Order: sequence, then C-alpha cells, then structure tokens
Amino acid sequence: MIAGFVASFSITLKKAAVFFVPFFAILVFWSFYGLVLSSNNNFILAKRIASLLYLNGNPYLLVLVTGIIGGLAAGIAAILGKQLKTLNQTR
Amino acid sequence: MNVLIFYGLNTKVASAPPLGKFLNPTTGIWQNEMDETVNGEISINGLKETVSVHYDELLIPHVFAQNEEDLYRTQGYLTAKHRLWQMEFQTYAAAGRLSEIVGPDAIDYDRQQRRRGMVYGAEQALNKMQKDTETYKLVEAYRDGVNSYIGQLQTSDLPVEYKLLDYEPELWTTKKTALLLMYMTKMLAGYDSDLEYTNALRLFGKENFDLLFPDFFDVNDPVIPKDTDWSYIDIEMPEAPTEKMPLDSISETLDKPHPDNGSNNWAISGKKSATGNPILANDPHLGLNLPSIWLVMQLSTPNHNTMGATLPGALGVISGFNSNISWGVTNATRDVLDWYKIEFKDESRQTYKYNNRWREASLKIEEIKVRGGETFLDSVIYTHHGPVSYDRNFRYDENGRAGYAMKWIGHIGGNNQRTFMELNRATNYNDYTEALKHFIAPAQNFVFASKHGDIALWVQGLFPNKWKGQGKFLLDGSNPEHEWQSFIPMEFNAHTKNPERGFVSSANQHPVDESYPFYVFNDGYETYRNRVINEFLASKENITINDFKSLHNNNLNLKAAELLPYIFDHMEITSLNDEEKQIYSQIQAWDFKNEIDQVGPSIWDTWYDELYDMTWDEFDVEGTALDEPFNYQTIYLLKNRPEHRFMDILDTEKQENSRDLFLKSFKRAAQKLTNWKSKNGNYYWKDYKATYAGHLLQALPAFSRFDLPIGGGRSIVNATSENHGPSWRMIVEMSDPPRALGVYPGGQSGNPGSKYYDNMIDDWAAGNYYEMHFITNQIKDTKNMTTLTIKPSR
Repeated sequence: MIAGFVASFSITLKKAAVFFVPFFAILVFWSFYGLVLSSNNNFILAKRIASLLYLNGNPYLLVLVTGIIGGLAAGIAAILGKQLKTLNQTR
Repeated sequence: MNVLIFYGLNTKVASAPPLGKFLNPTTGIWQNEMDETVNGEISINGLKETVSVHYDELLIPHVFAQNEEDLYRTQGYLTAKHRLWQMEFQTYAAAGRLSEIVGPDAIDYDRQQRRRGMVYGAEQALNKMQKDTETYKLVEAYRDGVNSYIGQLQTSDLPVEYKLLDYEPELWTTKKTALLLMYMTKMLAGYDSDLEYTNALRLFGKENFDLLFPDFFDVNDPVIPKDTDWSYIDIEMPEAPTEKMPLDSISETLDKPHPDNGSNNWAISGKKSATGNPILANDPHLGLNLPSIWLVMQLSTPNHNTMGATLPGALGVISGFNSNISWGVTNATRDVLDWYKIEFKDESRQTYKYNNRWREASLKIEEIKVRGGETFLDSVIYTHHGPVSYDRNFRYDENGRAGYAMKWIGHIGGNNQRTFMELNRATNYNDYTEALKHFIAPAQNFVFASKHGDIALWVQGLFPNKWKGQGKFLLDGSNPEHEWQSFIPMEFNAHTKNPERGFVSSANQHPVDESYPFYVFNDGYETYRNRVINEFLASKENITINDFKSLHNNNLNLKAAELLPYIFDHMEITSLNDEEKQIYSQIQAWDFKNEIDQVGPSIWDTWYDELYDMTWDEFDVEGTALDEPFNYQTIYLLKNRPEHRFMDILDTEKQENSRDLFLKSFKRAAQKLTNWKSKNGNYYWKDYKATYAGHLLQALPAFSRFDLPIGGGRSIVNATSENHGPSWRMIVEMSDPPRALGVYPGGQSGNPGSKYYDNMIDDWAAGNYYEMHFITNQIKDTKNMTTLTIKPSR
C-alpha cells in the first residue's frame, strides 16, 4: 500500500492507469507469492482458509481473492497519492 | 472513502478477520503454510547446557537434557512452538478472560468462571507451589521457556488463530500453569447436581428420591475389588446432624462440564500376561478437540527417562511411563463440590450468619475486559466457605439478602504439579505412593504397573470425610455442623496392590462396595464399561497387547443388551405399521455391537432417548433446574417397577406403565429415523453418530474434522460419542526397556496449515496404534529422526 502511494506520488501516470497499473502489479505479486508459498505445502492451509471464507475450499480462488484485495488496496493508495500530488502542484 | 477501505482491510469488523492483513502474503496466513522447523540449531536464554531434541515421523519431540531445569525450560519452549495458541486460549478461558479476545458474547461464560473462583483456586495452588521451592523453580523455568519462544516470534510467524481473531499472545506466567491445572480440575471435578437434587427432593419427597437416586445400584463392580479388607480403618465417622436442610428452589444452574468426562484404565500382572510382563493401558475420555488436549513428548535427563502424553501448560508427562514404571489416570468422581445457603445481615452484604453470629464477608470486584466494549464489573462476595456464586446479580432471584456459596476442593491449593513430576521419576511402588501424597484434586484412579511385577490402583484425591447424605443437597451455611469436618487421610483412601484376581481396572464406576466405612456419594457412577472390562480381563489368561487393543476398541453395548430383550418380551407390537415393523425387525436382528456399518445402534440410540425423556417427563418443570435419574437406575425401574407412578405420562389421561412407554417411544423414534433417512440416506451408525473433532473456537468447520468412521458410544468401552471419546490411547508393556503404543485423534502440530495437525485421526478411528519410540540410546535409536540442537545463548 505504501509502495503504491509513494510510487504514484513520484511517477506520473494518466487517468485510468493511475489505478490499474498498481492494481495489476500487486494482484500479480500477491497472487504469485501466495501461490508459491502454498503449493510448497500442498495447499493444506489454503484449502482450509478458502472454506472459512466461503470460497468452497478452492485454494486457487483464495489466491485470486488475495490478489484482488491486495490490488484494490494498492490501486486506491495510488489514487490517493495522485490526488495529493495534484493538490501539491496546484499551489 | 479511501480511508474507510483501509480501516476495513486492517481492522476487525465484527467477527470477520481484517482481510487485508489476513491475506497479505508477507505477514498473513500464507506464512503459516508450512511445518515447524525440526532440525538445525537454535539457542534459548537461560539454558545451562546443550539440549538435544530428536523428532520422529509423528513430530513427537524426544528431549534429552542434562538437568531438570533445562528439561522443563525446553518443554515450555517446545510446547509453545507447537501449541502456543491453544495454551494461551485455554488459560484465558480458565481465567474468565475470553471477552478480551472475542467480545461481549463471552461475558456470561467469563462471569461463570470468576464466580466459580477459578482464579481464586489458581492463586491458592500457586501459593502452595511457591512454598515448594524445588518444584517452583522448575515451573519458572517452564514459563521462561515459553516466553523465550514468544520473544522470538515475528508477526508473520503468529499462529493462524491470532491472525484470525486479530490479537497477539501475552507473556506466560506461573499463574497460567496453575490456571491450566484449574481448567482440568473443573473439567474433571467440577460437576455437581446438589441444587437439582434439592429441587427434586422438594418436588418428589424422600422416598421417591432415594428410589431414583440410590447410593448404590443393585449391581456393583467397584474399582477396588469387593473382597478388600477395610478393618485397618479405625477413624471416627462423623454423624449426621438432626436439623433440616434448606429446601430452596433454583431455576438455572451454572454450566456444567461434560458428564461423560471420564476414562478407562487397567493393568494386568505378569501371571496373566502371555509374556510374563505386566501390561498397562489408559484412555482418557474428553472432548474431541483440535488441537488435541494432549501433546506427546519424551523427557529425559541422566536421572530419569519418561515418555507419554503431556498437557500444554503443565510440566512433565501426565499419562505415560518411564524406564521402570507406567501409570494412567481415570476420573474418580466424588461429590467434592457443595453449596451452602448464605443469609446476609442486610442488603449491603458485608456480613453473613454463621454459628449464631454475624461473620465478615469480603468483596472482590471482578473486572471483565471486553473487546470493543466497556469493561464489565461483577461483584463477587467471598465467605469462609467460598465465593457466593449465585446471588441477586446472577441466576438467583431472591431478595438481596441471600445466596449460595460454593465449597469446592478446587479452591484448596494443591501441588498436583509435583505429583506428576515425581511420577515421571518414580522407580517403584513406594515412589508412586509418595508421589500421590501431593495430589488433592481432581481425584483420579491412578493405575500403576512396574517392571518388577507390581500392579496397583489408588483412588487418590483429598476427600472430605462426610456424614451420610452430606452434600447431596443444599447445605446450611450458618450451621457449623454442615461444614466439611475433616478429610480422609491418604492411607485410608481406597486402594489395592497385586490383588488375587491378577488385574486392576477403573472406568469411573463406584470406587468401593458398601463395606467401605466412609460415605461415598453416587453422582452417576459408570455401570457398564467397568463390567465389560472386568469380565474380559477375568475370563482370559495369557493376555497380549493385541487383546488390549481389542478391549480399547470394544463396541459391546451392554446397556442395550440388558434392556432390549426385556422390551422384546413385553412390548405390544400389533399396532405397528409396515414401516415400524421393518425398523423393529432391524433392531431385533442387532447383536448389540455399536459398529459403524450397523443400523441397530442408531435405532437403539434414538429409541432409548425417547424412552428416557418420556419416562422422566415429571422432571420437565418450568423454572426449576432438575437432573433426571441415571441410566442404570432408569432401566432398573423400567424392568422391576413397571407400574410405578413415574411411568405415567403426565400429559395423557391414561395411566401408563413401562410397556406403554416402550411402544409410544418406539413409534416416535421410528418417525424420527424415517425422517432422517429421507434426508440423509440409511442410518448406519457411522453417519448417524457423525463423530467429529472440533477446533477450540466452537468447532470452526474449516479447522475441524467431521464424519469420522468410528463406532462405540456412551457407556461402551470404546466410549466415542459425537464429540467426546478416547482423547489418548496408550498401551505399555513393562519389558526392559518398556514397549509402548499410542495414538490420539489429532496431531502434534497446532497449526491447521501443517500436515501434522490431524494426521493421526484416521488411524485412531480405525483402531490402529503407533509405536512410541522410547529412545534409550541416542545414537542407535534415532536413525529416522531429525535433531534440533538447543544451545545456551551467550
């Protein structure tokens, strides 16, 4: 989240990219990291957590949800960063 | 709006975990997707010398230390490593602090723990332990070991449950060890029905009460054999006072521990054993939880070498063996929890009546912290008897001038920690009896076997020497004659050593027969498992370990075998419809074994429940707490007093007898079974009983295991019911070195992300056992093991 905020404050992006670039970046990062950690352990915990979170015990769905949640947080932080930057510039 | 999203992702919203934090792969649950590290080298603060821990294929740690302090420090560290969350959670529960973790839903539970004096009892026990400097030093070492583990934990390493509930562990204290022991004491010695019996006495009168709740059943196969000579007991028995007992009424009593908490244990002498070595077995019956109540370890110093099941939070091995002896425990229930009616002088409740004077009471304000809410304050008055659990603020609707105080053996400080540590080191029968001297509560039937050939059983606890009938009902708190006058000296507690019959056993049945001079109150003694076990052991010679395995897994339903033939002879079946006839013929064909692939057990279970409820409809009284009679006596009355007035169903005009009840209850049961079948398929016992092992957080489905294929049931040697049963099964042959087998429904790891979380469940259900690798030579015996070396830190 902090990464998204700082990056967006420093690097200028246009319009929708402000949200979607960090969104996809973190989505991929979180999903991939989670997937690797979990597959090393035969998805034992991922299956359980997936059933806890009403995902029918599907570990891949959990990986996706993880990515989306991380992505959302990053994307929103980026928008915040951009807004702050814009605010800064108009002074 | 943006800020709100972060708030939601990083803070708990009601009972859902904070998702962003929870699913973050660097700190959240993805980090728990692994097994514990069981090799390499680590260091612990305070250790004096190097400790070697060898892990076997079940993740059982075999600990080799050079001295006692290092040993228990390591036990603390390793227990935290595998079961930190469980240890903590159980002690929070014992202390009545669950509201701190889960919020206001736990307030009622927490109030009950405070009002039971759980913390008070732990403090008393702690005081006792502190006076025993030798033991206390080791309890402190254990604490420091746990805290060394907590100290090196990163956020990412926190057990899953902490992440789920969004909190962190606090440091362990010696008081928490005392609390854990209180948790077990409550589980095993915290059951009573005194207030319910008082209500029953008032409603039904003494004659009926004595018929329904006799002190002895007509059949008795006691723990200590019948022909035991008690003539050496020359102590004076207290006499019952003549004044009447207060006949109060109460509507709702405190939550009780599971009534099936109990166990089996037995041992055979060399002469009955095929190998000539005594063999011992123990299977404690407790709730089937995950993580398991037990954690298996081997604990060794140059002076002693012991292995068995430990309790996370307490020191030493609780049910196990060492190089010379083995031991096991079953619950020796006796009424050690009594209620005294307290009369306060006025609404200020500063003084209460005692011996015709006003005696000073003390006030304790219990602060129950509530997560996300205001701290709840509960005022608990303490008298010299104990805490006034029931009063105007809690489940007692009288004016503010009265209440019930609890006198409980759990409040008398005991040093049972020392008993277990001494048993761990014991070499013979004398050491065993010395160890038992410190044991006050919860009273246990301690079974014993040694490689020198002795077997023994001792009913050990601190028992009040009661007058006949004392404590069955509410007592008068102002009358000194109603107090516990004295305690039974340990040497007069019922015990036996090397009896004629060649075996000892206990299954929570009556400890003695009528010739025992002390008053022993029947608070629901087992009458079935004990007879099956004793018949098995008495009828065989050249008994082997395999015989012990079959006995552990024995599914004979003696209760059904003693009632059904009578029912088949007496019940009127002409009015049965086709469906009912089919079910009736199914149960007639049953061989009284509760096997998983049978339908008989399901029919019996449903039918008996209906019959029992119908018989005791008189006990269903609005606003009055009542406990129905025991199963054995219920069946006795159905067969021997078929026309008794209790057989009548109050709601109907007709005066029923037991034959009518059989028919009516059968029809109801048949209906229930047919309904069940249409939704779930055929009612095989496995599917109908649906045994499960539930996670401590109210059986959170994601962390629990369901539909376990195991037979048995209540009052059966294989005492596995829906969520209760043999939480540990151990068999030890006293060869040199001893050979031990063990299994339990769970796994060594408390991490739901580990393959060792529940890996033993399937074998346990199937009646299989694992060899317990009792290492006597660290070089030879550790071939397939990994070693974790623990060094003192510089």
